[in-house]
Amino acid sequence: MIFKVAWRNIWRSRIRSIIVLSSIAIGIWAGLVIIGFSFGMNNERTSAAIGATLGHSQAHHRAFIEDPQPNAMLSEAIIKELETTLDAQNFVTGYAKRTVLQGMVASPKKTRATRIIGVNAEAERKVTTIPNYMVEGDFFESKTRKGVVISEKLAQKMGLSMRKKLVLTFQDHRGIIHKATFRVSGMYRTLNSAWDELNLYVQQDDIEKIVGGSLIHEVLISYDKSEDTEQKTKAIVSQIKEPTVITSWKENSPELGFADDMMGIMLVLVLGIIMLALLFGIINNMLMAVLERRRELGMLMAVGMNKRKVFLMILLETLMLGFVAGPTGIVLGDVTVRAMMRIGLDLSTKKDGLAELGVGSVIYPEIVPEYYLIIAIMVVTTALIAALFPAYKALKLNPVTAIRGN
Amino acid sequence: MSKAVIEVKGLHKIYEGAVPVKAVNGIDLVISEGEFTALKGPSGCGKTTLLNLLGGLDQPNSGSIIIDDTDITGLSDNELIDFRLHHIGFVFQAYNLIPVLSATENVSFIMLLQNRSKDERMERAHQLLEAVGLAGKEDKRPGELSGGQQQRVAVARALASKPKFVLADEPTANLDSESTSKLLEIMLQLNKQENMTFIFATHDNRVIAKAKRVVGISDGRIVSDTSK
Repeated sequence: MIFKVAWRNIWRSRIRSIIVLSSIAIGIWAGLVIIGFSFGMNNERTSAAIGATLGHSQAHHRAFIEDPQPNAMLSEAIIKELETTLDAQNFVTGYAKRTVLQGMVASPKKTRATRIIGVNAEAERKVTTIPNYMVEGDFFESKTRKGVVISEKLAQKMGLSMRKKLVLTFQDHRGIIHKATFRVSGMYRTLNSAWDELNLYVQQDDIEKIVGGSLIHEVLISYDKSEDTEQKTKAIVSQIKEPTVITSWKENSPELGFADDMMGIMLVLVLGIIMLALLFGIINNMLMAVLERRRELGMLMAVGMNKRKVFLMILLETLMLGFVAGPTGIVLGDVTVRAMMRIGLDLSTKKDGLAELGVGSVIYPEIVPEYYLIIAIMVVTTALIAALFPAYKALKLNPVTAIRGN
Repeated sequence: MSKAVIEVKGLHKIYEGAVPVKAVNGIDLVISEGEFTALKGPSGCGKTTLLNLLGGLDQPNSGSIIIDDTDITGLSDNELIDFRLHHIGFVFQAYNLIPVLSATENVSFIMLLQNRSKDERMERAHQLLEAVGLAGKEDKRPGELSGGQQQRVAVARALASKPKFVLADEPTANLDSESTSKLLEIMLQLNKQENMTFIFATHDNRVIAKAKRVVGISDGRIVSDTSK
C-alpha cells in the first residue's frame, strides 16, 4: 500500500507533478538528441576521414614515422611479408601501397609546399573513398599520363583549373631533386579542408618513371567494419616485425582519435549538467510536497509509521517521478532521433565552418543504445539523490508540532 | 477492580523559553481498563500536553508513565513509534486522514504497518467502518465525506491496531451537534462492547457530559477527579 500511497501522492498536485515530469522528460529528450547529433557528426567526420584519407590503419617504415624522408621506404621483402600477413586477416578488406613525398607545387602564379601521394588508382579505389569526392574530372580513370588530382581548394589558391599544367618538385630516395610537369586531370573536395589544401595525388607509375624505381612509403589498410579497429590493428601488429610499424587511424590522426575518445566523456558531462538542473527541480518539488504534508506526515509518525517507512515513502514518490518521466523522455528522444536520421539536420548556412571540422553540411544523428542505459541509470541516481533532502526534512518533523500544523 | 492501563507518577513537562512554562506540573493519574475519561480544562491548562505525554508523542522532564508494564519515558524515538503502533490509538481534532486513500484504506493502513495480512486488514476495516456507521462509504475518500464521517473513519482507524486505549484530542471541536452526538454514541458503544479505554482532552460539555470519569486540569495540575 505504501506504493499506492506514494503513487497517489504524486498526483495530489497534478499541475506541479506534470511540470516536474515534463521537465525531466524534456531534459532526457534533449540529452538523447544532443547525443544522437554529436555521435552522428563525430562518426561522419571519422568515417569520412578514414574512408578518404586515413584508412583504418597504415604501415610505414619506422624511420618514416620518425622523419618522413623519401629514403624511409618499405623494401620489397618487407612489403611481401606484410602482404602475406594482411591477406591472412579475414577482417582486412584491402590495402593500397603509396608513395609519399614532400615537395613543392608551382603554378604560373604561385608556389606552395605540398604532399605528393603516388597511388595505384585501381588499388586506391578499393581502399579509399577519394574517388567519391571528385568534383571535376576523374580519379585517374582516363589513364592520362602525368595527370594530377588536386583539391578544389588548392586549385583556387594556386589559380589552377582543369587541364592546366603545374610543376612538382621533389627529392627521391637517393637525394636527387626532380622537377616534372603534370596536368590537372581531376579535382576533389573532401570534408577535411586542411587535408585538401596540402595533399595531391599522382599515379605511382609516373613517379617510378621519373625516379627510375619503385618507392613505397605507406600501405593504407582497410577493414571490414570501423568497430574495434584498435583490436584489429593490434592483431596485425602482433604478426609484424620491425622495422615495419602499423598505426591505427587514431594514432595517425590524434586530433580525430582524441575527439572520438573525448566524445563519450563530454556527453556524460552534458548529461550530468542536465541531471544537475533536474536534481534541483525534483528537490524543490519534493520539498514542497513534504512541507505541504507536514500534518499528515506527523500523523503517520504519531500513529506508528516508523522513520524507515516514512523515508521509503518519500523515496518511492521521487523514484516514481523518475520512472514515469524517464521512459517518456527516452521514447520521445528515440522517436525524434529516428525521425531526424531520415531527414537530417541541414546546416548549409554553416557549411564552411563544418568543412573545417571535416563534417558535411547535413548532419544525420545516430542511435547510441548504450546511452539509453546510461541515462536510465543517471535518472534513477538523480531521483535517489533528490529524495534525500526532502526525506531528511520529513524525518526531522516533530509529530506534535506537525499535527498542530506548525 | 479493573486492571490499570496507564499509571502516571510525578509527571512534569516544562516548555523552555524566555519564560519557562510548566505545562504539566506534578501529575499522578491512574487510568483503568474500560474507562471513558475526559480531561477537561480551559485552553492552555495542559490537557493536550498530558495527552501527548500519555501517547509518547512528547517526552516529560521528569516522572514516569507506565503502560502495560513499560515505562515509556525511557523508550527511544523508534521504540516509541513501535510502541504507539501496537498499544495506542489516536483521534485528532483535524481528523488527519490520508486524503489519497479511501476510508477502508485509511483504516487498514495502520494494520499494514503492523504487517497484518491483506485479508485480515480488509475484514477488520469493514467491521470497524460498519461499527462506526459508515457501511457503504468504504470506498469514499476523505474529501468525499462530511467532517463527522471523517472523524468516524479516524475512530475506526484508531481502533484498527487493537490498541490498549484511544487518546482523543478535542475530537468534536470541528463537528456540529448531530455529528458530535453520533460520534459519542459510537465511542460509548465501542467502550461498552469491546471494553475499549477512551481518554479525551476536551472542553466540550457534550463530551464531558457523556464521560464516566472527568479529570479537571488547571495550570498543569489535577484539580478535580470525579467518576459517575
